[in-house]
Amino acid sequence: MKARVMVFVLAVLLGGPVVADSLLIQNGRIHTQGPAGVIERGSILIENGRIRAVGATIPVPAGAQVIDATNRIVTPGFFDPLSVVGLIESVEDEANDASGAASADEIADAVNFNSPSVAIDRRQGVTRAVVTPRLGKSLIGGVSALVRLTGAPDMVFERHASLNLLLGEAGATGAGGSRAGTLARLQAASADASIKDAVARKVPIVVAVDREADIRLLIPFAREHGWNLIVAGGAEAWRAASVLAQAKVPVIVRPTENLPNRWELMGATLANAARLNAAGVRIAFAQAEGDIAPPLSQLAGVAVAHGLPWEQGLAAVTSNPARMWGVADRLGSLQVGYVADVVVWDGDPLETTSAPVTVIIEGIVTSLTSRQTELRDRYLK
Amino acid sequence: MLTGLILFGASLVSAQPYASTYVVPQSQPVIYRHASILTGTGQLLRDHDLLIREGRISAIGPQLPAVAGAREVDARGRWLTPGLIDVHVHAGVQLRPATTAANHEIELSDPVVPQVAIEHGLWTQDPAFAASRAGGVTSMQVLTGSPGLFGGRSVVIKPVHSATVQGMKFPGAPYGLKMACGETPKRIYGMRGMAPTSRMGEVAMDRQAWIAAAKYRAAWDEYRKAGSKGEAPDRDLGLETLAGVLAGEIRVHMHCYRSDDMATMLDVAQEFGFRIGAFHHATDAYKIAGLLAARGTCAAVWADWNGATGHRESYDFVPENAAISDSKGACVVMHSDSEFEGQRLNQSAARAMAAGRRAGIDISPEHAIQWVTLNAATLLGIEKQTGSLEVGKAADVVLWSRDPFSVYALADEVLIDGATVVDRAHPDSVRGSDFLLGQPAVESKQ
Repeated sequence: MKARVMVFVLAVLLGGPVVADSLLIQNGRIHTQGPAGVIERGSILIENGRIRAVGATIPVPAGAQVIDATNRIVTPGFFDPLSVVGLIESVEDEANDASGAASADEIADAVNFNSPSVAIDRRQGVTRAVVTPRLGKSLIGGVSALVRLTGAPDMVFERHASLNLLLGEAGATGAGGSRAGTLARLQAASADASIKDAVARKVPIVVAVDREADIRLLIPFAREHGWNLIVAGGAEAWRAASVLAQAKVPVIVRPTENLPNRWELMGATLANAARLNAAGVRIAFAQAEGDIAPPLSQLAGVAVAHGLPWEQGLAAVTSNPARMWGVADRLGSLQVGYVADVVVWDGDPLETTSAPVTVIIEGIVTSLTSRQTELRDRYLK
Repeated sequence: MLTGLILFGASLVSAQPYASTYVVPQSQPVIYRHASILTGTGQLLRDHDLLIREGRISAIGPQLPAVAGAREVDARGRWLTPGLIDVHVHAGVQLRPATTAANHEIELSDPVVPQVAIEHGLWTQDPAFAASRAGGVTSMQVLTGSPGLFGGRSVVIKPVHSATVQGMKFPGAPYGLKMACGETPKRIYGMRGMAPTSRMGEVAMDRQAWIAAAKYRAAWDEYRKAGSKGEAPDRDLGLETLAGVLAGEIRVHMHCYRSDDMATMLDVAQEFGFRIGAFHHATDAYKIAGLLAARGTCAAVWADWNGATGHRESYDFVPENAAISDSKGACVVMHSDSEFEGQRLNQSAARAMAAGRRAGIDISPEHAIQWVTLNAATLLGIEKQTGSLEVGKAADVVLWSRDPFSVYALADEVLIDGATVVDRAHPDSVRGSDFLLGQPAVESKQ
């Protein structure tokens, strides 16, 4: 018993995870992203890493740790669909792997769970991420991994989360310079072990593609070959919204992208997210190429400012990506029996001025100190 | 003889290569009623009116009398701020869309090219100009890229539609000189088998250049003192720019990240007797804020930095950079260096302000708005014309749909010199980039 208390105290002193048998979040405005919708003033009971109850009133169990969320907003942990967390501290920079030669490259092997980027992203409310190699110039760009942002050696919880493909201008450049061979190249690529494996296991095939014409070319091909397709980027996806909706193909939108940095981005618009959503296309968010660093929360806020309903903005950073990666039976929303990834915010989570006050991953209250907070505190005085 | 006059008379402005042809357009008077006004001078005025006449701020008060012929705007619930100023953009520099044949406008032949001027390579039809003003930007400094130790002269422009650069140039704005320190120059030129290959090499090359500039300036001073008789010294465009810095007429904008790099550059500036206007990016500014304050050098910074973009030297970035630097007396400016971030400088200021508040630094919105308005104007030397809402100043004004520190705020109207350049209710009423015409995928030409 004494030893256990010591471990607990040490964990607190070291800023490590705090474990309690049961944890009750009280009095918060809860956006469940599940069937319970929004609970204006409610509680969440967490036990053994899982959500045991969600509701307006839950009695405090004996010995439970209580987190008061009065005037706070409670959401599922954010889910980043195109992350480089854990890839930053490297000479060769796996995140910037331009070779893309080996289609079977697995980014899981490159993820450094000791990277300070884990805590930095967690402070922005991110609890799950699809760590993805930055695409180079080859058609097949490696296998992404699903991670939880614990910073523990077992951070990767799904090594083969999705397969990445690159179409459009960059893909064409890598394969000889013309889109004329797109279908032939996709056909040839279908024989690749990585694609066969993805199709067999129904994991998402995430294709970076922006031009409307390319998207319209890809969709029937993907359907015929039984791909679980996700469009990444999709700057002109709004122009093919009904086709995407009909084919049930989700899109990872870059909400701030509205400039034709490439010819295939001519139709880029800040209304992309709102229009796709209105057409019934499932969306998630990523940063525009060349932008400096808007966090996921700000990207969602920008999409909302440009017409996306607020709750859908939240869905695009929580439940939608969970659905896209086939883990929505346990992640992405606050439901009984679900994994307890919960964030308590000091204000509207999509606002520029808000931040998490508590980030819980699998029922454990994580540390919100990071390399940045330590630097800050050193120079604050 | 003529060159002597041009260089060191009050006539450096007339030697601008080349003069602005921007003309303040005719505009209808307008009165915004019952707005919340962030003046840019540190004040927040609630339920105030603002009158614009003949392109200038004519009056600010609680209940202004009506003016014949003025457009009346009910701004209840909405906010007014000065037009935002972005001190670091590359709009018009990056060809958009890029092709392999034509991409960034950078003079890479040598790391020391103070003789070039970005205005001689600017593409006026970049759609980024219209996108920036839709985000409330009414003045911007276009800089050359960062490979060069001396990258060339900047230009301050108004993001208006114009078929010529001269038609966008901010009349009377001083030139800037883009410099860079740290990883970028040594990486770019080192890879090309050229000097510099190290930080030491960079500083040595900088100092050599300043020695030459001081000598050049002295030669011209001597010639002038002697009555500008006889044979004038040879004119050198690069040294002319550096001499302009030494004379205090051209402002230095230096790309640096690390505190040790910045402190060294401040010493170089002291050695040769010039001031560095601002360090741009300056991710370590918070470590040397007192030194920056003492030397009168601003920190032009981001609200955030994801650390994944290949600058090892930016590794110590903290989101509280702006707030800590500001609280220790340094002049802070939020810059974009990104055509995307530059469309929401107000949000950058909000995030930086909020990060500071969470760390216990009390910064109000009326103070933080100065990071993207008056502080930026002062850095660029256009603070007498723009950067705050004060009677007599140019009517560079943004009407926001709500508190501009909210992510949901949009610029309903943007005025440059009183002329409407953004009208969100009528997006196609203002001329946008020529490039977007006739593109079926583009729905709005604005």
